[in-house]
Amino acid sequence: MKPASAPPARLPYQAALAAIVVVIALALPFFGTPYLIDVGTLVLVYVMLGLGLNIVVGYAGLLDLGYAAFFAIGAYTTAYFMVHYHMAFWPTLPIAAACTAASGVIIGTPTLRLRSDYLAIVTLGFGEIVRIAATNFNFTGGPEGIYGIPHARIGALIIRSTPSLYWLGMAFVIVILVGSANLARSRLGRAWLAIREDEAAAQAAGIYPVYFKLMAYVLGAIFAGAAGSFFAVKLTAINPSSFTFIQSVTILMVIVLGGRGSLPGVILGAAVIVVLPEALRAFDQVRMLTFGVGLVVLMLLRPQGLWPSRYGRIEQEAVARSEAEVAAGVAAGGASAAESAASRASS
Amino acid sequence: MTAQPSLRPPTVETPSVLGVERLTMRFGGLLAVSEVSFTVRPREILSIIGPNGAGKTTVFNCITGFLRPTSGRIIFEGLEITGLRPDLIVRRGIARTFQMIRLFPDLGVDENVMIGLHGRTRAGTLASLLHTPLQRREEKWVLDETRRWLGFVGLEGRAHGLARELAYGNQRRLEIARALATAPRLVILDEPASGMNPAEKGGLVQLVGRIRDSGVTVLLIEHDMSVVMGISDRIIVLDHGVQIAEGAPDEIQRDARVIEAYLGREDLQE
Repeated sequence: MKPASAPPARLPYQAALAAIVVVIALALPFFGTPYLIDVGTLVLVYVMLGLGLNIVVGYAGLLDLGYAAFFAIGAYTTAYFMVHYHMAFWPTLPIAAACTAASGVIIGTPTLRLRSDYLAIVTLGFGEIVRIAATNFNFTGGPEGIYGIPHARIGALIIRSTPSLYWLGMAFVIVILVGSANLARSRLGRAWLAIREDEAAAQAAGIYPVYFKLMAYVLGAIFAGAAGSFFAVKLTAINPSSFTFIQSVTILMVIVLGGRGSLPGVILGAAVIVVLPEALRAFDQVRMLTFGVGLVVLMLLRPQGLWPSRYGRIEQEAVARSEAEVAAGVAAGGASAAESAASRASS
Repeated sequence: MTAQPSLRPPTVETPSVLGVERLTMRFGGLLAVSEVSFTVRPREILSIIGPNGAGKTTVFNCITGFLRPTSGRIIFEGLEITGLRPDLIVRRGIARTFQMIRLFPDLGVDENVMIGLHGRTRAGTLASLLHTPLQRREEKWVLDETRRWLGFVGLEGRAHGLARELAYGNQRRLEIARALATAPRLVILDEPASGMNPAEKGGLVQLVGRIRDSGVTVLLIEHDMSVVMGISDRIIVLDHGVQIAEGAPDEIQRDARVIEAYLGREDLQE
């Protein structure tokens, strides 16, 4: 086992993996078929959503099972103002940000003093309320939603083709990615880490936890809102079925699968969540079953995520160490299990 | 009753950093602290001692805002801080450590100190998101200040390790560095020597002395008499939530009530 004091070393395959992902992401719009580019764009949407939820779950350590609500509010805001007020795409972004930020405060305030299990229930309820409201209000178009949403434009350029939508999504992802990375190494990021690790100690260091938890919800909500705005002009039609509880769970899966708190992890997680079901289309009837089994196997093999954050890795090492001890203690027959646990601990 | 003028040195003219007035804390039927009053003078080391369950930590928690006292007032630098939020009390200039060390064990040694600098930095959400030049300059200051405080407690070489990997005595030092990073004028240490070996205790006594020499007033809870008697300017003794003595170390050592509280009543000899 490596000495624990070694700086968090990059796993050997990580640099290669990062290079492959970047090359694919850049080459896809030039060499991919429209279908593949469209899948790529969907990956980008989930990257945006994953990065936003990562602030809430990964950085601040809060739980949110109704995250799709913010995605919906962003999408509906852009759709509503573009269709009914004939606004261009870009001015709807600040409006969407304001609306999602406000809803972040609304959901955040009553939940701040709740422990995580209650938090899960309240956020789940919020997600359902937003979806049901969208299904029943007139201005949201009811179950049919809003359709005929115009395309985004940059000057005379209309962003309609599959590759151009991909690049627009990529621009959104880069902005959100840079913002997330900046937050992680800022005073705000440290405050979140402190609160997540030990709230009383954070207070003793002069941090007011309520404010920073609320800010995590607000920023997470704004990022999801931006993803929603993009989603609206990408599909040009939206309806409540895109914003279900399953959607919230899928976004949560993106970050759990990738590694909570890890930005490369979110990107990988989004890719797996979108690409795997597509790749399994050949299996037709057992497709989603295979997908489910695949996810279970992935989580068993890499419980810390595909590309864990520094902190996730530490956690995992500690767990693996105790696992190894237990396995070694159980029986001689469990020797191979202990070995595999120990090899994980040392990686 | 609470006021015991005979025990109190003439402090009329001395300005106090901290004044605790008739502090009482009740948990349901349990009277944890009863009418405790004392003042802490600038740049002194004042220790609170007493048997287990005497209410020492409760007094600390009331001062630092982690508990709201049932009654009584706490005055810091002339302003009442009773019942204020812990983070606001830190910003007023009172920092603390915990009886059971409460670091952020999975974060870096340097990050622990950086978090202590939170209240002295201003970068808001937008500045952090955009990584503005102002925020970058502030972060550079954070790094410099972190290095300074790690140096002050003697952990300069450990900045990049994890807090959990430090030896026990060094974890205490890191916790003190985090408290000092908030730039307090009063630092409250809750049993800093507990669990330390004699060598570590010696280092701790030195460190506490240097903290006081740097102009920070120290309020100490401690069990270890070798530590307390060596560095305290004054000592307050609590027993069952009641203040039973106050004075210089040598006075305390001779005080009959203190000896009784620690060694038990010696009825036969009375």
